Amino acid sequence: MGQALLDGLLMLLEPMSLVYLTIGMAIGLVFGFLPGLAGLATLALLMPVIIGMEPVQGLAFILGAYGAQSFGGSITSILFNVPGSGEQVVTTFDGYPMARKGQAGRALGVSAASSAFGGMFGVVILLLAIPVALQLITYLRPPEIFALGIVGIMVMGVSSARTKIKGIISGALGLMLSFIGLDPITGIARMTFGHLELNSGLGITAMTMGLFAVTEMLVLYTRGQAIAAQAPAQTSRAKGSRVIDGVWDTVRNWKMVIQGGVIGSICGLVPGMGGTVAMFGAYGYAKARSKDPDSFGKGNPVGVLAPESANNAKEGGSFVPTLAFGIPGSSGMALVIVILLILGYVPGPQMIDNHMDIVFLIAWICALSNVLASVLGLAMAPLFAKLAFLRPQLLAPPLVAVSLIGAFVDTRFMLSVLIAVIAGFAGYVLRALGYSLAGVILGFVLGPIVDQNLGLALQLYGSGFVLRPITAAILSLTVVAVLWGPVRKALRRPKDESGGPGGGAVVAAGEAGGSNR
Amino acid sequence: MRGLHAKGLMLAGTAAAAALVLAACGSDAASPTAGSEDEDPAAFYEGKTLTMIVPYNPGGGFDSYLRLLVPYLEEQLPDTTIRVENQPGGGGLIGANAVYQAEPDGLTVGLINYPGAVFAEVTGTDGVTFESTEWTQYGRLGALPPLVYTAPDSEYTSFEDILDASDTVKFGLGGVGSDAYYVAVAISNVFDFPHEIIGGYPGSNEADAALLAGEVDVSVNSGGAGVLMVEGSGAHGVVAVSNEPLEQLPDVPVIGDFGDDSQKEQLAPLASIYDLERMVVGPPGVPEDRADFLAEAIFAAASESGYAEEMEAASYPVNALNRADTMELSSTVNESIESLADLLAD
Repeated sequence: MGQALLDGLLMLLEPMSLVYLTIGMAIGLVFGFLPGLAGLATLALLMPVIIGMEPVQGLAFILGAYGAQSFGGSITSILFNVPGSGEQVVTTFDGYPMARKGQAGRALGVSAASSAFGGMFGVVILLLAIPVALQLITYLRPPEIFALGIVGIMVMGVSSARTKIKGIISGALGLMLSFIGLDPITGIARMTFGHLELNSGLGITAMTMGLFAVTEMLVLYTRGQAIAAQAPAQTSRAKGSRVIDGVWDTVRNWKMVIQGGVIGSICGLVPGMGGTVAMFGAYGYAKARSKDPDSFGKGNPVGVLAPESANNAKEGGSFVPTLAFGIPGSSGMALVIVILLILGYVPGPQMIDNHMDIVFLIAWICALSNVLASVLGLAMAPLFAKLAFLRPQLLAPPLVAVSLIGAFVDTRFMLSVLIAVIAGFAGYVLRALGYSLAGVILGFVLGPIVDQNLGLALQLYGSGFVLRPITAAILSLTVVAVLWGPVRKALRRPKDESGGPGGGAVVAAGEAGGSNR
Repeated sequence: MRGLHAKGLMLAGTAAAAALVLAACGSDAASPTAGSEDEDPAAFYEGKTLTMIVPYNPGGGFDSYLRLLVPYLEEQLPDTTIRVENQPGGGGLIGANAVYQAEPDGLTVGLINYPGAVFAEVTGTDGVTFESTEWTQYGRLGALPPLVYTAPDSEYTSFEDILDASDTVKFGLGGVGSDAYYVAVAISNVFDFPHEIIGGYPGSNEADAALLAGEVDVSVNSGGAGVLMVEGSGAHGVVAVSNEPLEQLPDVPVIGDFGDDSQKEQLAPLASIYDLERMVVGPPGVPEDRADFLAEAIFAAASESGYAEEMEAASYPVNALNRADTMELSSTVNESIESLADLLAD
């Protein structure tokens, strides 16, 4: 084991491997800037390049690109409210408000540092979890995933809507929109009006590009002021706004970084949970645990670091089923399997027995590319942060174009562009009326998870599935937490007329669920 | 190899912009001239652009079959520009519809999942605009028949075990209406064993995880993925839905080895249709001389040993079949399309 660990590192430290790693990372960062090219598309587009490469160099090249692209997406999420991929929308929730306050540098620092720590944490999990991977997959089945989805719906009310009822309406709207497409259990088309393009739904990329990128550019354009216009230009260099302050934020909140990493790794380990659940879960958890939940959505660095840590830790986690069983833990990993095959390795138990050095090589590449991407990102962050002070007339048109291309590339339907445009205008109106776009997207993401896993759980285990130990624990704690708030409030009322904040019940619900992850 | 690298990089760089432009242009860009019947087909293809449609996402098996073929096809057609276009969605129906409705000038072909297209047609799936008997057929690139497999620690280690089962055998599949789903429906319709088909997993990966977790007993997956589960994870391959045993797993029996004569007769069309799995097709009515010319070029390219080696490395076996043989095979399959409809009714 120790020998294989060292062999893996030595393979990566060969000069040519490092060169390929660097080239891959540079390409990955650029892809990360372009929404729709991030994630899966990075791997798919680079795959033909590695045919015929030396295995070690090929892996360094393509996994380096994959590791770096998510940081590229974080940069655009923070600076422009344009997520690199659908799931990275979570980074915009607090990252973008920080940029608006003139703290783009700090937000980028948080993102880079927490990505690096999360990524490293995921690699540690990768190494530790391989022996127990099967048990984890056995314990987290559709009933448990359904229960976690219910917890997510409870967190929905936490969103940043003007009133609580508007928060709930936002989430319900997202849930309803998510049901467009084929019913996952029966295969019957719902609300597609005969359009085959709608069979797989409206599309998370089109929806996030519309609701976040397009809406934000509309807001910017109509306001006519730069993103960070409220902050004086010298803010970006002031104490508390610098990149180094963001790194310091991350160090200070190391517990939350690790907790985010745990959530992310588990989501990666279980096929079918994926990055969206990881990032939303970590965000909801961080908010529920916070002493000041109201500051979330308004530029709280913890709202950036927990999901960023989870997102990067997820990749380490999703390597586990990929390597151990040949079953990809995420959509990107499905392509990693093909890549391994192209390079001459068959993923599965034999890989663990015969090519442990390659397993460790993969772990080292992931770790190193995470750290290097973050260092690179940190070096460039002060430069990028200046973009937040740019006039919207210069910034908005290219960003809208890039976002719409992103929506298109994801599905290759012109309909997706139309969806993004409509979502953009609808988002503008909804936001002006005080609804929460984060709530809409959360409902949109959770809808299919709850829908599909409820159907599967009923088919597999009957209605008795709620009595499975983990499911029962999660669901009953959720119920208790939901009821606890009003009960406590009712008990306190005689003594304290002012009462707690309105969102108390739902915040508590998120907390209960979070502690069960 | 160097050329291939450059190709990939170029692809990567231009994909976003190119894809947008292509979609905007639609199919009419592919037909600058209608062309007359008596023109030399070789001359016709000079200076033209051949569009090859993949009805699935980049990076998948169907995509690889065409993208890796392009350099070899360019050698056969040096003066023709070849463009691979992904039109995913609707379980492959969007791309198949696009090929069927393209101008029949021989400049648009697609690599379709032929059994999937037939299943969609005979089960009356919404949105099918083609008739499986009408395609212009150019040939077959590969045939990856479905493999039925059970978990490494399953009580069912052979197909006989499943047929003799007294408890309900649970099939776990990624997607109602997928090929694997219809294979499970057909098998359980023909053989009389207690069964339940759970088709609602998000994809075949989640179904495989459910198999390993012991949540379901049996899964079905096409070609490489099924073989990988057997070779990589120790799953038991119990039966292959084909006429010939799988090249990689020669010891796994084929579906025709089981059941009485009437059951064998019922399942024969299902096994045969998988001989045609990855078929290059065009819209109905392409001039015969052009179809012959292009089919020959495709067959020659697909027969290059370099192509087979590259595909083999990614666990996608190439099994090229020329136009005449493909058409002969499909005519026998087409005769039994009606009996397939009964077989797939759930």
